[in-house]
Amino acid sequence: MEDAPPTLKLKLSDEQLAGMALAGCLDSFEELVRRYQVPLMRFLLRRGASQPDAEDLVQDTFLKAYQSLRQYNPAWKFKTWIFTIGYRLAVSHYRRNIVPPTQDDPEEVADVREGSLPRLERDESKRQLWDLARTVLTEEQFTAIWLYYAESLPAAQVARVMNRSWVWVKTNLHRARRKLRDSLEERTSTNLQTSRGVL
Amino acid sequence: MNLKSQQQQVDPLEHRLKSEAIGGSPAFSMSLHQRIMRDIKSAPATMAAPRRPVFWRPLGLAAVAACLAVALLLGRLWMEPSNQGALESKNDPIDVSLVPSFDAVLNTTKPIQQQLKEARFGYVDQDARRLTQFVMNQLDVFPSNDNKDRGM
Repeated sequence: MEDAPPTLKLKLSDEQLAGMALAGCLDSFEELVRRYQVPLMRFLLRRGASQPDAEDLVQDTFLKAYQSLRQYNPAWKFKTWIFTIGYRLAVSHYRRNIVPPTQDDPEEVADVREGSLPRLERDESKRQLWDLARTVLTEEQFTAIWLYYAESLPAAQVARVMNRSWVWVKTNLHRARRKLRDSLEERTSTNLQTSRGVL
Repeated sequence: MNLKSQQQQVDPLEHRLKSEAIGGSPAFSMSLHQRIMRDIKSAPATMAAPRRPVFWRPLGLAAVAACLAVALLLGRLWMEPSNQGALESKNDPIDVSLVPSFDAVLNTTKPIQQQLKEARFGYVDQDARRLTQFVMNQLDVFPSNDNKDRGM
């Protein structure tokens, strides 16, 4: 198939690009890789994967997506499909290797390695809630809440990614929010007590 | 104020979850991108060929449709009450010559009348014995002394 000009590719939807890739246009698939590399990395790192693991998983995800592009149904969002592949690969990776995802923030490790401490301090305040979420929520609850809020996937699509029912997703989103709210309140009251003690 | 804006105001947690998700995003890695594309290009060309129309798909659909049609037809035949035979017999004239006369019926049954009467009560004695046995068996089940169960 003849390649579309690069400017046109930017305007095309994910589903259109997937259709073109299916017809043999490798550049269209490259555009999809460009669009979804960061969201997938962010998702996997947030789930607790180390930087090298997350990179390997992203690579495997795109390779698997490319090889099974024929199975992709354009009626569904490409985003849902690619996240489904990524999520299942991550789950089976950790199941196979048994070692649980690291509790250290991989971004911190990467940033320290690269020597960019100012960025670490800058981002610290913006990550507190999600760090708390990773501590208090179960892995599945965290995944559901991440896909719903961070990736803006509707509950039905989250259910599809996680191979769960829509009801399960809605229930667990509710539970996760309640858990987070409780933990935030607890943390706030502890901080207040500490500050009063200091004064 | 509409409901949506009310919800947005009411739930700051959801707002924070959305806004803080973007914070600390990993940067786009060109080296990873190149690695992925190299991997894809060197992958076995299972996907490279465009999708070809599969010739047996319409045939399969036609076969399924035919099976459904046959199943529906058979189901309808099976479920439909067949009163055609009854209607036909209703309209048929009765051959009176084939019906035996009342005297003929009496003469046929008279010799065995006694036997028929006896047969009606043929097994009463056996049934009575079985009934007695059954009642006795049932009585064994109940305790003869209620006080025993109460531990007195």
